[in-house]
Amino acid sequence: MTDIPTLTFDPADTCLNVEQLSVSYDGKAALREVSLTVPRHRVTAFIGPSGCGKSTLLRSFNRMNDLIRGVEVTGHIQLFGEDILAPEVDVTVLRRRIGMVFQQPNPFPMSVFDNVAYGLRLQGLSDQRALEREVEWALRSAALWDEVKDRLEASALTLSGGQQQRLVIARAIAIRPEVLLLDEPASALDPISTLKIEELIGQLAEAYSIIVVTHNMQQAARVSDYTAFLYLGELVEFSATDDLFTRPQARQTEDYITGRYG
Amino acid sequence: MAHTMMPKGGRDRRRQGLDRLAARLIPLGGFGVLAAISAIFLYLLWATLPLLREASQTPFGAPGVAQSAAPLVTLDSRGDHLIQLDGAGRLTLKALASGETVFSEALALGGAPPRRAWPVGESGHLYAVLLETGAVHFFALEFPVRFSDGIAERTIRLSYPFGRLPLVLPGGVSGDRLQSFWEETQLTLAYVSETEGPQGTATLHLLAFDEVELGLPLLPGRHYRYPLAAAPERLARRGQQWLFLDYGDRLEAWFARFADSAEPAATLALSPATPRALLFGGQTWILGDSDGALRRTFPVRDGAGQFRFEDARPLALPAAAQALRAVPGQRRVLVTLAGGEHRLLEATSGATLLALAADGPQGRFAFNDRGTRVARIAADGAVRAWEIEARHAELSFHRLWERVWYEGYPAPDFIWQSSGSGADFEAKFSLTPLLFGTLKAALVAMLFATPLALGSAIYTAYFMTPGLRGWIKPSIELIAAMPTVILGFLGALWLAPLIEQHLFGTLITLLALPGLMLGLGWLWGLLPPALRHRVPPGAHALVLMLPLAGALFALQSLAPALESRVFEQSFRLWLDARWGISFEQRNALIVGLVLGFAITPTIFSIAEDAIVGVPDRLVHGALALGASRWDALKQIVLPAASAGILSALMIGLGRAVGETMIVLMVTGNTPYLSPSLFEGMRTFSANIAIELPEAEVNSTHYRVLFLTALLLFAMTFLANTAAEVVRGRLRKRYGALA
Ligand SMILES: Nc1ncnc2c1ncn2[C@@H]1O[C@H](COP(=O)(O)OP(=O)(O)O)[C@@H](O)[C@H]1O
Ligand SMILES: [Mg+2]
Repeated sequence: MTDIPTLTFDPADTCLNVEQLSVSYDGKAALREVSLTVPRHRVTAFIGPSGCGKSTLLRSFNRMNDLIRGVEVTGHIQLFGEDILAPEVDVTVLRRRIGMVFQQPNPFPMSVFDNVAYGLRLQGLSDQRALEREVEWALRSAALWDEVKDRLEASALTLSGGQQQRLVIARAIAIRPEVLLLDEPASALDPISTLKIEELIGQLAEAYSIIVVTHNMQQAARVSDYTAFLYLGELVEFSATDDLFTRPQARQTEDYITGRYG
Repeated sequence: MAHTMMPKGGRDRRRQGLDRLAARLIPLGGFGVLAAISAIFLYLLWATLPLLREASQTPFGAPGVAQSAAPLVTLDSRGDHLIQLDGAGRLTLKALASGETVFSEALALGGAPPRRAWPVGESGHLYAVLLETGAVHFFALEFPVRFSDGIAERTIRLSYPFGRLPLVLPGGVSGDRLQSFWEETQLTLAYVSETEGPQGTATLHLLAFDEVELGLPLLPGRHYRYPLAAAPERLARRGQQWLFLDYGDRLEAWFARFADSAEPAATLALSPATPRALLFGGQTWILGDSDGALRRTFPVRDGAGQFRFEDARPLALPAAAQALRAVPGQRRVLVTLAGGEHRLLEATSGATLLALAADGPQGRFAFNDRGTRVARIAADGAVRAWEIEARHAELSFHRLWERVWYEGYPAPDFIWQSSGSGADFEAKFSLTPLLFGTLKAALVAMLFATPLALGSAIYTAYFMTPGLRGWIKPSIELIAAMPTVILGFLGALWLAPLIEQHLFGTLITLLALPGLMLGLGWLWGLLPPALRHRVPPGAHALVLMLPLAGALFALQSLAPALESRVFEQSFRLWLDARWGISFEQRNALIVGLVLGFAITPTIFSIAEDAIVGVPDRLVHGALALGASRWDALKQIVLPAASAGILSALMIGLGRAVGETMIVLMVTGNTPYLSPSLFEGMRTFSANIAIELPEAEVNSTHYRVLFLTALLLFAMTFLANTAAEVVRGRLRKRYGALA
């Protein structure tokens, strides 16, 4: 499979290194021998039609796939050189290093403050001052502070969908992960909220390595530095976003970006 | 597809009609349920409210005249006639309603004038007459119904059931000191004769006639004589147990049974001026205190087996009592207050049934023994009568809820005893032990059911594989469909004797079970991961079941040896000897197990649904932040499911409180207030099931049972309302999850 157009990065600039990753559910393959490297402090987008394995690949990074019954994972993934698929890896520690935001906003049924503080408290932070400082920082980073600073004790469920999604992002970055995984973070939102999330991704890229899954090609083009195109569980092409959209090297990529499949 | 204004087809129209019908029927159903509940509530209330009704008095009949000093003035049992025996021996009956004389006949007393006459037995038609000669005569009055031309007519028949010859009392009666008691087939006369003798100045005689039957002559009686130091002023006996000798300055209680020698069992010193009356039942003396209280005092056996007079709670009066009069057939007393006012009091509750303005201390009262009519014969002979409506006057808040010192009992206590033998039985309606029993049964059941049901609900909903869950959940729910009578039956006939035999083993198993489970879980965590990962996630419970069963079996086999080692004999004997804890076969432990088992599926099912209902994305959100599954359960899932879990517990509690069949069979139904785990209880529901079929309709007992039903209703209603309020709060806090 050496003919797949792909990129490699200097080990110092590599955040995740995926080698020959295959995932199957109940024997049905969802990913086939995917190999790629994800750069550090950049935004990487995964695009492809629905069902091509984008979420599966993303969930492999923080081992959320472990929760699915009948899943089988082979291959290697290294986070800054450390193997994360080994059985002895403590997944709770791994997940603190790799944050994740889901397609549907999923704030906990608690106050805005407690939502953001949740991960911090899990790590044993209990000093109220420190918590307040960190929560404010996370909410500011998620561009939500000005909207919620007067209602920190209100239930998170009273926020709008777009605010909820930014709250969830704030909750994820509050524990300062090294990588942030965003699985179609804007697909359930209105255009204005989508715009805000996209701006936010741009700002966060300065401090985090971000992987964003989207089936919206314009979005990928707007927010990402690099883009991987997956199709039927296989990596078809991985290149700089500008290159992929202007000079696709694989036929399938070209067909996809010109809208030949749905 | 664009919406077009197409003409509606038949199907559309039908669907619309169905919609409209449903929109009307569904609220109608809701209102129907509400109406049914309100109707039940109102019915219970309606049956209970008469308990609160105040006693009422209504003047009855025409004014009449009678001799206030006649040897006998009384009412018949129904209260239709005023019966009078005058000093010349003429018996006159006047209809109370009209004042007309309906019967008048001179008694065949052999020419001797009567000194005093009185009804024998509390509700018979037999009367005794003490003649001036000291002899005793008996007559009977009956009111047979005769039918003439299909119309029932009550007639009056006078007879001499033991013949027309007077009974001459050996030794002779001194003055008025004669007293009779008749129960079933035995007639006893107690009297005092005064004789100068070496042993004293008086003799107490007991003359007992056995196998007495109206219409047959009296057989020769047994005669017992006891010398007395002095002659008492009066004798009093109204019950099986006691004969009281009233010396004016003291009361002596004698056992009213026959032995060759006898002496007073208890003595009470009194001021000679104290007004006194022996209450129906023959145990309690009502004594007037100078400070306006009525003492209620009766002989009580103390711990050493000695009898003493003890006072129950006194009744308050607006003024000191000047005179007290006993009332036939009822625990009532007629009090004449210092100002001359008369009051008829229910001696058990202190309720005033009749209040009459002062008309002088002289004169007398006549009562019928059913307690419905009273006639006052003033000193000048004027007769007035009243009808009294006081069916439930013996009840009071005090008697329903507080400790009451019932006559003959060693101490005040909460007692439920609704029926007993004998006409003079006093019903005891303390709701406290029943309420306590209801709560005790429900709480022990909850104590067993809550950890079991919530633990399994959490495990099934949150950790178990879907395949396993698919058959575990319906199986547990199937238990809820099991008729509770079967559970009760098994509990009473199989489990209770089993646990009685293996009490120690059962207890250590129950105590060790949670520890064993936690311990096994901990050991599981120590196993090498490679081995652990072989077990599919969610199937751990099945795998751990085996060692758990092994450990329990080992514990059971070790228990007897351990028991004999630690407690020398058996645990039960040790409990009794060391702590004085007695063991009943039907006890709270069994109730907890069986009733707990019965309500577990209900709690499980609702709680499980609540936990399953918490969206996965919340759990995933927590896990993605580095929470363990356990963290996510505690911090996210359980709080989010708390409203549902609370309603599961409330519904379980409601079932436990209202459950009848199981408690009926397993609790032993002992209405005692005992917090012990090894003693039984009686619950409201079981009490209703046991007693309502036997309660006389509209009696106090019947209405008190309805009161308990109302309480049961109110308890479940309040619990559910409270739960609904809390649930509303929780839902507001964790709501809008979907
Ligand atoms: N939990 C699961 N159980 C079984 N199959 C799954 C599961 N999640 C995803 N799949 C399958 O794996 C394939 C890839 O899915 P997914 O990674 O969700 O795709 P995408 O996110 O690109 O839409 C699909 O065929 C899907 O049906
Ligand atoms: Mg997806």
